[in-house]
Amino acid sequence: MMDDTQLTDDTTYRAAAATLRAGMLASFAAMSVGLVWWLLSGSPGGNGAASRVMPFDHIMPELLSLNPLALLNLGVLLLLATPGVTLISQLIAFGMARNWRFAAITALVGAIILVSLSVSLGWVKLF
Amino acid sequence: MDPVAIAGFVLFGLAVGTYGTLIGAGGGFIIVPVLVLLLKWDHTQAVGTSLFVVMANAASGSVSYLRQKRVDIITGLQFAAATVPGAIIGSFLVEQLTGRVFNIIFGSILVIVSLYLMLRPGKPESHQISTDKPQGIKGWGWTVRRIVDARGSIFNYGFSMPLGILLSFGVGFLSSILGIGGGIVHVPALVTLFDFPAHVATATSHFILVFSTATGTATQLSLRHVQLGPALSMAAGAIVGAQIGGALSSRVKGRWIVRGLAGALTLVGLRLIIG
Repeated sequence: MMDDTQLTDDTTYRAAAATLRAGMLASFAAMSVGLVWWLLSGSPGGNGAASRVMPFDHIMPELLSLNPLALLNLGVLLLLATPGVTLISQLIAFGMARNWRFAAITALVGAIILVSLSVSLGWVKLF
Repeated sequence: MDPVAIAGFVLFGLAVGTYGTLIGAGGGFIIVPVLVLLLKWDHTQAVGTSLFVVMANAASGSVSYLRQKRVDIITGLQFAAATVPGAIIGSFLVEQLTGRVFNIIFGSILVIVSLYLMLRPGKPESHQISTDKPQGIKGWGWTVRRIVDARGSIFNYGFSMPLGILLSFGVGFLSSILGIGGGIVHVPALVTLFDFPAHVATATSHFILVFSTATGTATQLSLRHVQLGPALSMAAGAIVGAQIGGALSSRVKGRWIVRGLAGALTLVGLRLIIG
């Protein structure tokens, strides 16, 4: 029988909550600034442009060429990255608590999500 | 998008975020039918946009639940690890499993389960739940948890970890078939089959959704199945709604949360039966 009573301490809860909150704030700040910037610059590309998702590899070059919609899309990317960063924060929290079993489980979860992402985005072909 | 449409999507997101977070679901079971049936959206665009909102809702709701210390973090991570591959395999088999007969059978099962949950919404909260190891398959990989939340309420419960992982794999699989996040299947199963206290089940399910929807959302974004304008408007509402739902959760008894879930299951079941 496995007895994992009182297994997640305050640090783990705080780390997870803080990372999720920071990720959401950064994401929505980028999206809001991008949207306001786009509106103030006369909505280039028309209404449809703001609703279209930019390919991920176009975001940085477009941002460097001062395209406001690239900032909006960067916000989307930040929101997507938030779960990954939360996993890293959990890994660090478990590591700091020297809870190696839970740190290993967290690392395994990260690896599974990364592999799944690679398969579903077509980076790795299964069939 | 005109301002009235934006306001409508924000308010809709607010309602979905509140109800979804209260019952531990992301809200895809409401968003997809509304976009497809009422607004006549293409199904793929509706599912992609819905997943984006579910992810934002789950992240916001999880912050609220983590603050309340009701999330079983390590169990949530292990279940998330099983849900994601289940969803991927489900996405490969979705064509074979979404025929009319399958939908009617599965929809009917969901409606029957929801009726059962409405009549027998589970045990009274936490303290009477035994953590003694049961005999047979239920005791396989027996795991005991003790969670003390921010208000000092104590939740003791025990469950079979391998069976929980198997369940989560199944939930991921079904979420791909049904085009939803999976919370409305995960929570009732955790409460009725695994003796999780309802409040811990909803909070943990929401935490799982953060990770399980990330892969799907990334895929939908790369396929350009997300309508960013409506998605962001609904997500903005859902983020605020999730905080309201999380706060309401501490004031609502577990039995009523399960009954709320039963209502959601009925909606999904009827949608499958009607087509």
